[in-house]
Amino acid sequence: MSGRSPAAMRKKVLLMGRSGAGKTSMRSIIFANLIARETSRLSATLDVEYSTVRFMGDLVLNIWDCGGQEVFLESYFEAERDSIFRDVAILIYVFDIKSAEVEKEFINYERCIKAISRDGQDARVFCLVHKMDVVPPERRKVVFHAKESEIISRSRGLDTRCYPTSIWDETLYKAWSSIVYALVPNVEALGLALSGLADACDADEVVLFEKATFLVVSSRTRRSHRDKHRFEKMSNIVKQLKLACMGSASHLDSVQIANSRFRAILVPLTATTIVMIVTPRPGPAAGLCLLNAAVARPEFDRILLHSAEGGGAAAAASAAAPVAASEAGAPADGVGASAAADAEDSFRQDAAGGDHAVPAMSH
Amino acid sequence: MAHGSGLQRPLLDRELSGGGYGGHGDGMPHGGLGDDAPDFDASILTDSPPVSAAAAFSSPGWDATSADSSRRPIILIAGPRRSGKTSIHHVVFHKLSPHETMFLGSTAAAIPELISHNELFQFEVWDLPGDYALTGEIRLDDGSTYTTEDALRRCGALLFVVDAQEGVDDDAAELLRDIGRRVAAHAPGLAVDVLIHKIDGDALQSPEARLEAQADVQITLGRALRDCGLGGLPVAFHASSVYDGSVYEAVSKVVQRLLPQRAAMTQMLDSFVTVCGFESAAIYDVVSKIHLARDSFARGEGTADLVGDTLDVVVDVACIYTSRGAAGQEGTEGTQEAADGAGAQASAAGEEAEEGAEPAEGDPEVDDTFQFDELTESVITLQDGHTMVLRSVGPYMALVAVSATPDVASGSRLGIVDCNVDIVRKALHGLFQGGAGLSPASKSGRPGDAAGLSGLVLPPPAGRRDSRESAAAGSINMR
Repeated sequence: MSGRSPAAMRKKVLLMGRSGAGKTSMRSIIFANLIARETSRLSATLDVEYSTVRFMGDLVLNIWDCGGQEVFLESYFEAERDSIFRDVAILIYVFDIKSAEVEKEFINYERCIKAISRDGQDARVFCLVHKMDVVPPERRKVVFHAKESEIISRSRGLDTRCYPTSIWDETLYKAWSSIVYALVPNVEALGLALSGLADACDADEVVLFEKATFLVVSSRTRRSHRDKHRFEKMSNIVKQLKLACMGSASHLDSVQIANSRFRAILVPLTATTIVMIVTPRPGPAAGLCLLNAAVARPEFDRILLHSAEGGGAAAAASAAAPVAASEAGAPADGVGASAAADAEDSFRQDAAGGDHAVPAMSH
Repeated sequence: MAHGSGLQRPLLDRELSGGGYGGHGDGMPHGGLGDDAPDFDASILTDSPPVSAAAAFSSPGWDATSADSSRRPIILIAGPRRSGKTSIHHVVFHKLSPHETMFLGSTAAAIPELISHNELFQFEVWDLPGDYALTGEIRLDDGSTYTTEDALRRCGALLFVVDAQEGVDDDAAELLRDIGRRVAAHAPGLAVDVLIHKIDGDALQSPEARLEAQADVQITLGRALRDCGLGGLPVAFHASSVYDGSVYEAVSKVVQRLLPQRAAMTQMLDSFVTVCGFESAAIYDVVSKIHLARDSFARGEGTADLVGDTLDVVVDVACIYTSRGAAGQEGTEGTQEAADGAGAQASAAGEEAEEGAEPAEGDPEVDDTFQFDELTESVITLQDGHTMVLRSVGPYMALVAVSATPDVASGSRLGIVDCNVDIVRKALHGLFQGGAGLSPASKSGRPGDAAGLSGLVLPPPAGRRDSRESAAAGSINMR
């Protein structure tokens, strides 16, 4: 990994909500590898806790975790108003569904919205309706939608998105994936490169995860899937495994899972990302996917490291490169294992010959 | 069923390339890259007619319910109120997420449940109401009743669950005494397994506090039993929590005692581990994460919990990706989605539509069936080189092997592993056909040389390895 771009993109993320709403808990689970049940040991946040998270190489999130006790709130809106609400890229407001003082929470929310819009900046607002696990499963949808419509009506027309969350299931990953998706630069180039990889592997879908958080950064689906929540479920599942590995004093490297219908391969792609390639079975051999991931690696490196320089056009052009492999991969579609083996063989020759897939990637 | 081959020695790469692939023509690089391994293995390295994994799955021997219900052993779960009996039952046998056990109500009538995942794994779990001392009749939740004498006669194991945070009060000690008396009277020899549960509760954060709580329970209950002349009652203590692997470990130990084939399976795993160069290996019931047998080298301590997590991941991911829905007319749809701009995340607007569109899905975690089939496999590698290989060896049965080095999962080494897995699979199949499944422990205390062993040819002792190796090599050369 040569020259990391010096022009890191800093984004200020404001985390607000009443005391005990779960702001620090969710931040710790997503960014600090805490397990859900360990969050009961966190103590209340006093004043503002700053943390800096490097996400996908160039993107630096400055997270301002604002303690939610009354005393601090007053100073946020008065004395510290300018420093707190200046240059906010994203406001995350956490609503505690267990809260007894609903109206008070909304009043504080409106004050935040007001402070943010007064500065005339185009901050995005994400509202997390948190601790949904205390609501019986059959009522969750109703409870959330009621809350959501009230939030929207009190957001002064600002672009506001609401997500139901709980630290106990994948909903937390859903919400935070959406948040970082709003921040990651060059998503189009990433998406194009993923398309190329997906085509080359004849994959059902390809998903790009950030390595440390396992949040979904981008994805491409070539064959539809009924489960809309599968990505965040994958985030949750693999992150649990990752944490378990860390408990055993090592780090997760790669995962391959298959049965008679599918094969899913998770391998490190760049230094900060992991790619998941899902292929049908019978279908392309695992080796094809692994090779294609290896071939695509420099391209993704380039997109991610030079994202600040806006290399969109170049990325679009070179995303065609891994498609070279798809000529080999195509015959495997829907055919048995022998075809897959053939396909793999011919691709391996390509790779060994080294003259047409690989250099195209590296310009 | 005679399996003339037993486990095979791992063959060096050059031996395989020298002739092993010749018969198959295509020269397909095998192992991590290969797709459909089993057929190839069986035909090359065993001289008995190959039984493909699929055939083993569908043969009638697998799903015929062997023992009539009255012979199926019962595992009774007793203990004071709110000690965690139903939680254990639901987490282990229903895969309930641990934190959701908070929603479970108290149990009013005993809930009998048949566990029948495969031929080997058949028993009933009776979740008894709190504070119930096995007096009078046991009322089941379907309204029927059962005399405690009958229940104890069929009882294979008795779990007594206590809350480690609460400690043991006089009532709990009295309860165990009452139960102990009934056991001594009606099922002499039956062991009582005390689960010192909720060991990782908020009140017990330090390791010292946990040890102290454990010792406390052991001393109090031991004294209580001795005081009333029940000192001879076999009692084992296990610390457990639904939040980590400990509850599976504890229940596994209990269930294994009911398994006459366990000794044979252990031997099989020992050979497998030795010939394939693994650190450890175990056979799991995938549904409950109970391990039915484990190799006896005890080298896998550090990775035991990780294996449980591996099972979870394999099952969870398979649940997501096996049922894709409309996989048929992918052509147009695929391009449509690919052309769909950024399309990575469902936008907030898309979210709305999707919420409305899937009311039928309900709560998928609870209802999802286990997508575990004969081709289920997984390889997970860690950065320090540890590699976990999971293979299906029967209905809801997985072999999980851990290696300290990554090379088992590379190239043709994995082919050797697969071929040996295939032999284990067939040997297990033989065990089920010969064996009678679980039997009440009070009757057959010795789990070893039960019926299941017949037909299984285990590898010879180390001294004779050489001749076997040449025999294996010979069978390859002949092709």
